[in-house]
This record gives sequence, C-alpha cells and structure tokens, in this order.
Amino acid sequence: MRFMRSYLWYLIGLVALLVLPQVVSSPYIMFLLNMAIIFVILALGLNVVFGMTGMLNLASLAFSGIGAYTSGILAVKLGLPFPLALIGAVVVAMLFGLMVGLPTIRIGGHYLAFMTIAFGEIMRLIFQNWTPVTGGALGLSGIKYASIGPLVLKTHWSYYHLSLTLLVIMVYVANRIRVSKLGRAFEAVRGSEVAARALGINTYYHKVLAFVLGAAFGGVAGTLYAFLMRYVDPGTFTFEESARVLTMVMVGGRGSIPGVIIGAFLLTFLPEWLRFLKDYYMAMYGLGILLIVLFLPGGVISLWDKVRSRFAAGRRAPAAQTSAGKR
Amino acid sequence: MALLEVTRVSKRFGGLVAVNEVDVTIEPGEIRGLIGPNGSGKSTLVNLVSGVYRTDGGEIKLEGRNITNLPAHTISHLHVSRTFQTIRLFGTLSVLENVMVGFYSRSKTNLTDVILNSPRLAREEAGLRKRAEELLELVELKPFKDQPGKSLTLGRQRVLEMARALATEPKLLILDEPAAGMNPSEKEWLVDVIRRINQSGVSILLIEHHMPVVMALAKRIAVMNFGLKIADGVPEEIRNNDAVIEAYLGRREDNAAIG
Repeated sequence: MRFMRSYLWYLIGLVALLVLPQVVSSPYIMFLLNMAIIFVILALGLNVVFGMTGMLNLASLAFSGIGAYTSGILAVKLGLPFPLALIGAVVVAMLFGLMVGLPTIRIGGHYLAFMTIAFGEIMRLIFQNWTPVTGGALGLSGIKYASIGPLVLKTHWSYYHLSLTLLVIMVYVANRIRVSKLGRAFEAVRGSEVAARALGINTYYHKVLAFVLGAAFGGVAGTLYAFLMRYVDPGTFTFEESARVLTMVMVGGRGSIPGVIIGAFLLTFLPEWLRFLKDYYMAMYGLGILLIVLFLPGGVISLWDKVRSRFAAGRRAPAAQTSAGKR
Repeated sequence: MALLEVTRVSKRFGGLVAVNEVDVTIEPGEIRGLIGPNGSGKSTLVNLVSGVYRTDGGEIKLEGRNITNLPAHTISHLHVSRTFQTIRLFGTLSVLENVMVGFYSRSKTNLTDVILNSPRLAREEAGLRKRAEELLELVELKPFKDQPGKSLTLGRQRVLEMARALATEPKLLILDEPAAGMNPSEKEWLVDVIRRINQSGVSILLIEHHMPVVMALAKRIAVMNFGLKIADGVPEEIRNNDAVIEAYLGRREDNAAIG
C-alpha cells in the first residue's frame, strides 16, 4: 500500500515532466530542464555514496567529467553513436571509481573527503593539460548531435526526451538499490560499521561498491552533458560544482530519492528565479540554503513528512477532545 | 567438544593489560555468565571473540576451529553474533529492516538480481521478510515493525539488537550488558526473552552488570577483575567466593545505586 503510494508520486512527477516541454517555449528553459536532469542523476549518484553509505565524496563532477570526456572522445575520434559512447563512459567512470575507491576508502572519515577533493583537482588538471587527448584548455569540440538509430536529436526539446528516459532508468536503479538488501547494507554501514561487520557485512567491499555505483551515475550524467553541449569544457568540472551537488542532496533530503530529485531541480532553477535580485542574488541564494539547513535539517522532503504527521494528528485530535469532554 | 574455547587470550592497550591470559569455555546450549566491575575487561574480551579487536596472544576456537583474529564479518559467517553495550542500531532503517540486515550474508542473490528485481530476489525478499517477522514475534517486537528503530524505548532497542543478531542464525549469541538502562519490569521481560532465545537452540554468552539477571539465567559464571579471570563456577560458588566478594559484590551498594 505504502509502496503503491510512493510509486504513484513518481508517476505524477513523470507525467508533469512529460507535459512540461509542451508549455515551455524558450530554448533556454529547455536547456535548463536538461541540465536539471543531469544534476538529478549526479545527485542520485552522490546519494548512494553519501546519502546511503555515509561517505563524503567531493568529486562528483570529476566522475561526470570522466564520463563527458570518455563519451566525447569515443564520439569524436571513433565516431561511436550515443548509446555506445554512454556504455563506454559508464564503464570508464566505474573503473576510475574502483581505482580511486580501493586505496582511499580504507582511510575513511574526513580523510576520504580530502582525498576526493585531491582527486577532483587532479582530474581537472588532466582535463585541462592533456591536450592530445582532451583538447586541453580549448576543450573537446566536434561532438555530433546525439542520435538513436535514425533519430537525430537536434533541439533541446528532442534531447529532453533522451535525458528523461535516462533519468527514469537512473531513478529506477537508485530506488532498486535503496529498497533492496544492498540499500540496507549501505544504510547499515552508514549507521554503524562495527555493527554491520558483526552482522556479516564486509564493510570495505560495500563501501567500494557504493563508490563504484556512484561513479556510474557520474558517467551517465557526464555523457548527457557532453551530447547536450556538443562540446566539453575543462572549466566545468570544478570543486564548486561538486559542492553544489552536495548541497542539492542536503537541501532535498539526504538519503531520500524523491528529496534528492526535488533538491536538484530546486537548485538548478533557484538561481534563475532569483535573477531579479541582481547583485544580491548570491547572498539570497546562500541565505535560502542556510535557512533550509537550519530549519529543515532533513531537507525539503521532511516538510512533507511534517505536513503528513500534522494531518494525522489533526484527525486524532477530535477523538482526544471527546474523551476529555466525557471526563 | 566445547562450542567456544578461549585459551590464554590477552589484549594490551599501550601499557594497560585489558585482558590478561583469560580462559573461558562455553558448552553447546548453555547460558554462560561473564561478570566483573567496570573496566575489568569483559567488553574487551567480547571484542576479541567477535573480531573487533586483534588479540596480543592466546587462541580462540569455535567448535575446534581456530578463529583467532579473523575479520568480524567472517566470524559472523561462522555463526557467532553479538549485541553492543552502547546500542548500535541502524537509525535510518525500520525495525523490520534492521532485522533484515542480519540476513545479508545468507542471501544468494547478486547485484543483477537487485537491479532487475528478478523473481528470484522477490521470492528471497518475501521469505526473509517472513523470517524477520517471526524473529520479531519471538522477542515481542512485531507490533513495532514499521517504526524507525530509533523510535523504540531503550529497552526495546536492546532487544531489537538481539533479534537482528539472531537473523545471522548464530550458534553463539554474545549479549554485552543487555540489561543496562532497563527498568525492573523490562529486566523481567529481558530474562524471559533471553530464556526463549536459548530454548530455540542458541548458546549465549551473557555479559552483565546486574546480578539478579545473571543469577537467574546462567548455570556457570566467570568473573573478571583488572583483566584477569578471578573465579569461574556455578552461581552458588561465585556468591561465596572471597575474591569475587572483594572485587565485585563488595561494592554492591554502588551498583544498586546505578542500576
């Protein structure tokens, strides 16, 4: 029953996202919708690593950068179509996840966060300076329009349907992880590693696994980005943007998949809505996030739980009054 | 053959010898008591047996097999499970999910099953859910199964940790001060639950501060003080042992005040 109801909300969200392009006339807004989806996928990946397993990864954008460059290079230099470039990007991103995860995750705690920052910076420098492969500071250009078979996706509207399809798949995967034994194991690692081990869970293996799965989300997001822009700029994959993905997870509701989706959409569009503030925009943006973190530590999604529990309490209250009246 | 055989096991933290060449055996099916004042090395011994700490000497055997210094998750796979003195529930999971975590190592499905939600996985999940509900019924926590684990009272949280540990199908269940922080009626309930768990075929190592609980349950009790085992025997012997009275029962008033 409860499962059916959460399923219903996903369906309503999907219908809304399908209707949206019909009413949007500005290519810029369509571009932002595509970007929002890319950020949702990134945030869902961070949610597996940080939200569920409790490891602070501050290199989300490094993994999407690896995905973007891999798919871009596969498309430009080998002429591979979108689906194959996507698979290649996911595999390479996961390999990098494994390579970085195996040594750093043993260290654990705050040190892991520092290691991921270092990794992010290293990747950024490689993107910028390995000119023969990445195109260096000029970036990687010449990516053709994404095509699925005979379908060539030339507009932000048509591309949006590709983004949305991948979003549905990634939300499904994230949800499968969360509700299955794997999600329970990840949440157990986050709750108490000592207790998880005592229950037979190899915590090191599961932390590496979460990290690699998170990297796969980065690979998908990066590929979508590369084909959306049809150009990969090394200046995109910065620590600031990784921090923004972290903010999306925290503002939306750490660990909650609907929360993370809302958080990513909110933080993609909030800057646009606040644009009228001109110079004060960053201050208001910061203030807004500060207020959410202070008053809704469980994220925006916890607001829903609060409303629901107040509604339930409201229904109980009359009964309590009548029993008081009898006395 | 003894279920668990701990032989001359030691653990040092810097200059402090927390556990000093301690011997303990547990026979199949028994409830074994382990008592001693605060800081006597009881919990350290538990952490050595369950693989949280590495030993600095001695040997631990489970059914004749050497398990000394194996990783904690491997020891769990060999059917030794435990609860914790400071409660370590998984706060984000429900009561039922907390128990289901314990089934993890027995699961036969893989990552592909998880992502594709295969019929095999669905069958396994349904079976595990049912088994988890049975375990919750055994410890009388089934009515709370959908609540977050952290919302339970302290006493119930401790018992939930037991149900979670039982999900790993232990031959030996180690309970580290299960009565700590419980009120008298909860303690009665606890004794009842432990007895029922034992009757279902699980041997128990009971580390406890609260004497009535140990005396009611354990047939043999070992006593530790300053890392050494100072006595071992039936409750009657322990009660009349001079060394024990001096080390432990001599401070009865303090203990009564605590708990």
